[in-house]
Amino acid sequence: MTALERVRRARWQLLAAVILTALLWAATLAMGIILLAATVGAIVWLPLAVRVVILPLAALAALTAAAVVLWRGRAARSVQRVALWIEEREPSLKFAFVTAIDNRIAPEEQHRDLHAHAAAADVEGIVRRGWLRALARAVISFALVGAALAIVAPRELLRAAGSDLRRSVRAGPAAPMANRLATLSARVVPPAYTRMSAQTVDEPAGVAALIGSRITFSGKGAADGVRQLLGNDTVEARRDGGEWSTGVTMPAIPDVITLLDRDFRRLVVLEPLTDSAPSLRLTLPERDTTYQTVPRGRLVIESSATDDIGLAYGLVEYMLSSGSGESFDTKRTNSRRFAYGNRRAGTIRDIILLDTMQLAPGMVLHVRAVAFDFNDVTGPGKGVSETRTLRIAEPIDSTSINPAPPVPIDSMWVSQRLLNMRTDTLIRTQRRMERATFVGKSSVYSNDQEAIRQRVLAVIALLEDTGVGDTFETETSAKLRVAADLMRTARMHLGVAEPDTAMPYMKRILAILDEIRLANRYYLRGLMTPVAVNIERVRLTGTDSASADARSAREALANANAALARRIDAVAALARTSPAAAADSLAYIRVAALSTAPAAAAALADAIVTLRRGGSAERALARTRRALEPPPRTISSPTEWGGIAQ
Amino acid sequence: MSEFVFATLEYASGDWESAPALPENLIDTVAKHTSIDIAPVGVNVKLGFPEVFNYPFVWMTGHLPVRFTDAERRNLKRYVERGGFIMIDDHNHDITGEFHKTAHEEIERTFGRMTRLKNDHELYSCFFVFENGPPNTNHELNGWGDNLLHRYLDAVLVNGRIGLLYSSKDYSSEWNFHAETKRTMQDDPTKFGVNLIVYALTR
Repeated sequence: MTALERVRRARWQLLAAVILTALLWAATLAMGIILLAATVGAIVWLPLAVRVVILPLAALAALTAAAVVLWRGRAARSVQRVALWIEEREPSLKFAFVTAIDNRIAPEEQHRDLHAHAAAADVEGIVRRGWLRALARAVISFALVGAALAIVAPRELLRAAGSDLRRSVRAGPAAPMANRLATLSARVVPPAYTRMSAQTVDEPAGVAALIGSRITFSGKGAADGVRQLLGNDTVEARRDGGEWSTGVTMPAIPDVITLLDRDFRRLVVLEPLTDSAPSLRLTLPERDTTYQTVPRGRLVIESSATDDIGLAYGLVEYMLSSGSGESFDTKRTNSRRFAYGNRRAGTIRDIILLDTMQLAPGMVLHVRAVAFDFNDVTGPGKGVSETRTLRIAEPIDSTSINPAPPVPIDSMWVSQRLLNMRTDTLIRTQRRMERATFVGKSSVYSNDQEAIRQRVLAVIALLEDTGVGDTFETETSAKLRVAADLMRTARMHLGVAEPDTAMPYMKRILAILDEIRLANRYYLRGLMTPVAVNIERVRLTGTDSASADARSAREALANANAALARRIDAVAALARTSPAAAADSLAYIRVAALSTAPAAAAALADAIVTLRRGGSAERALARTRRALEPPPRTISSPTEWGGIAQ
Repeated sequence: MSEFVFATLEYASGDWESAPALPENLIDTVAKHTSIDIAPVGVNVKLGFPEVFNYPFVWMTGHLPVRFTDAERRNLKRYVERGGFIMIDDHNHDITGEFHKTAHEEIERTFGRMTRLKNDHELYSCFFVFENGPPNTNHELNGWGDNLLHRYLDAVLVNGRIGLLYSSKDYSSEWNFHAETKRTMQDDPTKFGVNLIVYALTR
């Protein structure tokens, strides 16, 4: 092979290397631009103007890189330049190669030594090393950028950039596309277990639905470029007939979903509704009981169960505890299951035979009803009734514990009921009675009413005595005070022979006592006898060393409502200048309010809708502020004179 | 400033009064070692009633299953969230016992899972220093109950502060003796109670 043939061969190899290197650098630069955009996009939101230029910029970078490489490698087209390039890398040739390729200057038959010298040159090795060096740099750069891009995986960005670019190319600057979020509807499909039908909400500021519901947002126009953002997740809208649509599953906590169309955006508050656990009310046994002897016979347990969506099944749970001192044993059993087939209400009824339970003094039976719903999203929801505690009295108890005194409410209720019956009889027999007899009897009943009132006052004093020289009004004592006030009025009317006027008061008294009687379900096995410690005698007589350190004041609890009110005040100022921005801000405030201040959240929804319609949200915001204020204090009972307490 | 009153918590189910000598004993210990203005007599306070909010520290114990009423559950949550300190001690010292299981069920239903309290928590150094965390009880060392040495206490924390402390160590048995008996003891086992009260009142 002549020197010329070898150079031509090297030229083709170098040309191929230049083209390959140009392609690799072009791809590397294009990927680099996309990588840069993806990195920036992960930190800040990229506006439409930037998204549109990402792909053209990448293409331009690729073309530029390719052009630069090709320009720099343009010498590979010339045989002489290639020969010189070889000479530069092999100085020992001393231009023999350049001379040998020109047959006019140095014909082979006249310059055999020159051609032999040129033939000895390792042209293939020089060319191989040359293009390997150039390619290696390009391949390494390509691999590094490619790997980084694979990690970042900006598929969403590429899709968005592509669709934005296509749309801008198709539409052109003269035909701007309308806001495709201007009309919006949300179709809510509740979870399958609820068996509820789907609903559609038009122009939603917020969507309230059960957790796990499928919500589909849709609007008019093509789907390209319409996206939804929820947290860090971006979902492209899909084509649905002539509309775009996108979907989300209702999360467990309130959130804001952002719908985007180029630089248009629309916020929708997601308000998750919780499927409440079943609610149970144990109707039998009516209250806690202490049996003085081992009970026999049947015990009926009955409970009503309700659920906001549907009940699956219910049962009765029994726990029988026995033992004393440091040794206790508890056995658990359940009744059979009562199936409800998704009905909203049902009854649980079970009967146990006490004779078969081998009961003994000191045993305690805990009974409660339990029901489950069909919730397969966050549940199943389990509801339990209050527990009834049925005890069998222990004849010998701890010496430190005194027997509990009988509950006085029961006896007062019986006395009042009897008095009411007698007064009722007096009213009915008034016409057949001598006036003096009637007045006398009414007077006696007046005294009876006063006697009951005195017992009530004694119980109030007992209830409010803390044993340490201080008094506190309790829930029961407050109700008893109302009853005592009514008793005084009833006594007064009975005293002046007006039993028919006294009767309404007496009925209310009986109702109050009945309410307290049923509510007062505490049974104390005994009352701990407080033992007084002689503080003065023992004060600081301890000899153990301690290391009490500095105390710091505890921080006051944060007032969440006040913080919300401050945020609303800031938005109220914004509403005058930028209603759309104010509506968006209120949407975020509403998410925070949904869990802590539901009333304020409802008022905020009105404010958002009003602002979006271009109206004034002042009224709705005022309602929101009122909802965030602490509730007014109420006085449960009149004072001694029936006036307002100071 | 009003005096501190030791309160024993009454609840509808179970045997809340199972450690009748404990209040007297802890009042005695607090008076012996601190200048806290403490009432000489403890009180029993019903969890289901609003009076419970008058006491910054309440002691709850028992052997039998714990089933709170709705009012009790509501008050317990409010009490802890508003800065109260409730000590719940398993008088069975048995993690397979019904008190432990049902009390845990009620606590988790009300607050979620409890946090394991580290043994270098300030509770163990706010007055007396307990380098190894909660002091052991004789019931643990003798292998009674669940035959376990419980090295940690569990807690419900509210803004980093203990609002509810749960113990399987059975301090209710350990400290349930007449205060005068301490004179015959080399070491006062109720000192940890001082830390509980000091923490509840100062943190």
